[in-house]
Amino acid sequence: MNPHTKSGMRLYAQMLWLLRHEWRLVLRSSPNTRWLWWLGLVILAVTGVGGFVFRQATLNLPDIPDVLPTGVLIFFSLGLIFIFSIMVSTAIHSAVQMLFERTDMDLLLSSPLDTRLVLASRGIWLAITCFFAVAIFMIPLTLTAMIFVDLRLFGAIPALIALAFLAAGLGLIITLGLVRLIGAKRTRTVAQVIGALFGASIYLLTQFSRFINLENFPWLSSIFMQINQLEGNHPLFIPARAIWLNPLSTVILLAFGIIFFLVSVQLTHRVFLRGATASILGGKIKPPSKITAFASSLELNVFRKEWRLVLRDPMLISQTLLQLIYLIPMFLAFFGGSSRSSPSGFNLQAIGTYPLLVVAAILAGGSLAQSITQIMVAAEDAAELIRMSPTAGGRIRNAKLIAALLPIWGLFIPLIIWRGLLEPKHFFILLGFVAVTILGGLIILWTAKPFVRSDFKQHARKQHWLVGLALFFLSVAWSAALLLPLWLPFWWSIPAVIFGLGIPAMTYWLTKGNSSLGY
Amino acid sequence: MDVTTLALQLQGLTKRFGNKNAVNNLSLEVQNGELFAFLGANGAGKTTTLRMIAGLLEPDGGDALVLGQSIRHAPQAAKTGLAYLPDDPLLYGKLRPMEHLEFVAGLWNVPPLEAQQRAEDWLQKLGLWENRGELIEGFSRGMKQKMALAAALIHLPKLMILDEPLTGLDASAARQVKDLLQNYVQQGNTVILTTHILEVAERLATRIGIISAGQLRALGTLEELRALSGEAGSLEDVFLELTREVGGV
Repeated sequence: MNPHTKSGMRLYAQMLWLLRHEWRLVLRSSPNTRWLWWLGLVILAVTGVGGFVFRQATLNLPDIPDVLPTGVLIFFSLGLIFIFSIMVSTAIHSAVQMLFERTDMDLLLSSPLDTRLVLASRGIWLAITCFFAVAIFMIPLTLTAMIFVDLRLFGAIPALIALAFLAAGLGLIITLGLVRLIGAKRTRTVAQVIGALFGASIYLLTQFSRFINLENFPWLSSIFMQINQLEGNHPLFIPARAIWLNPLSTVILLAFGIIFFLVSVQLTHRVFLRGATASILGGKIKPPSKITAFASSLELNVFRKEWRLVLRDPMLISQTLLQLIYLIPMFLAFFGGSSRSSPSGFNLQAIGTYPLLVVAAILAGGSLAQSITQIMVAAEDAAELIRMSPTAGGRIRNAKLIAALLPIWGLFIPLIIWRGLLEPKHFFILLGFVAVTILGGLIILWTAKPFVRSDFKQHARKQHWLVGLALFFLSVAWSAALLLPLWLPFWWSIPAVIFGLGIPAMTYWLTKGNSSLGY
Repeated sequence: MDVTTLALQLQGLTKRFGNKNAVNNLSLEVQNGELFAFLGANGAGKTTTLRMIAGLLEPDGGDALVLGQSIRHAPQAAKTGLAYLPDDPLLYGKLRPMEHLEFVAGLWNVPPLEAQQRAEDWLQKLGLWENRGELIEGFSRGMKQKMALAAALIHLPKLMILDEPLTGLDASAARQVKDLLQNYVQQGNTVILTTHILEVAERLATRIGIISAGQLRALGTLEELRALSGEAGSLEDVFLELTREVGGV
């Protein structure tokens, strides 16, 4: 055997070994691997049922042309952009974990394995992760579309594979680019934020488009016009044509995805080595921090401590920021309103931006206040330290509630006051906003169960349904109290206010105001 | 005995977990200025006793008076002069040392200027001053233990209770902690510690209490325990002899 073939086989064997190693780590890092079996079963079931239905289906499908109309291609392209944004977000989130948080990196880098192969194997797993992030809904969708529309839609699968490689390559470049710019440690935080932004980008674009008048941006409308006039065989539509299993487009897209991935591995290899070593060594020794004067009151002390903990936790930042990102369009309501009529003919202009502001302040502000209170009150890392201190637990809990609410008030109240100065009835929103944030915070305070900070996302999902219902009705009651006077006499608000006060009163009565937080 | 000279007085302290008596009618007195070693095998009831004294566990019976204040009836007053260091240090990993000490000082209501000065002093004494810019989560086990000790000392407690304070410390750090505890006691304060390193108890403790199956089996100076057990050897021999009678170790 010639030496080149021998070396090629060795590399191939090493790559297989590394991929198997990754697979083991994935299995072990997941506390419950049952979901993998479930996923496999769901895909198998859908494929089986799909195959059966297909056999039974008549072949009298509508005649679909080989070259799709531009409108369909634009629709496919938008779908792919949406899927790609989810994949890139997944790639960035996972790249940080795969490259810098796995404890096996020092072992792999000190072994005789080619370090490029180590990076490439992580990259391939990144691509697999990106693929599965969308496969869970895209594979059943594709199979259904194949059965009921056209078999050529099978092209979505290779297109997704190509996009997964592209996203993995982009994820590597962004993550390791950040490592080069700001160091391995800070990358964790920044990458989480960028990942969250990518994940929400399409939602934001669709929302902004509702508030932006295209007539004020002629260059943007001209781009849209040009895209509309493109021919179906334009290179811009290669990914969309690949969905339709156009052979040339599929090959080009797959080749582009894989080549981009390989180039990104080549480009980032050196930074990866430097960054991985830095994370293994714990990074550079930081210069002594500037010491601020100790807090003069317990409330300020708790405020500082809680916000320091939140702001230094990349996962929490990204999760809280993600929530904020989804609220941005609502914030736009504060800076003006839409003059468009609703489909029902209801003219928003006639009643101004008041209803939008109520929704922004009560729903957006309220839910943000509740999540931050939840984090600060229930995710206490050292509950026993507080319990063994002479300060009463109740005082600390109240200080935490204030710490959670103050920045949210700082964000919303000036905006509401500003709108109130323009139109005095907006001052009523202030009342509802303050009530819903304080009362929602108190409901959390009385009902929260302790959890570990890193489990915030899971914990939020596990919230007792009664608490969720109480918080929902609290928002509904206060929104109603503020909105009803638009259409009905003012006194109609009174029952809504009573209901809005009754929900927290009932919660207090049920919990006796006791805390199960352990401090 | 005059109650005011007592740093700690346990009066029939009892704690049950299900059918098991973890601590059974335990009575004990520790005087001001003592370095008291509380010894026992794993599961003997040491940590449960200490957690009741610190107010972290509600006793099922009896009471603990900390510096004359009942932990059951006047918990706030009892906790003011007390510091408890569990074997797993209670620290905020995402805070820097001074930030952590700022929060702890606030919990014990130490005036800010005084607290800041003390925090700097303790960090310097414990060799953590150079690490003041780092987050605690990056500290080694020994550094974390010293950090927790600095936090316990920030309000200058009259009584300090330490559960296995030397676990995971290297020789130099262990020496530093032992010296600090001895100096602290010499200043008229009281230290109660548990340890499995019997040489430490033998060298540091003024009095030793041995607990087994939730009950106090022996109490006294090393000499008194030697006499009680009939063993003339080291504390290890005495301890093994005294706990063997009840099936300990």
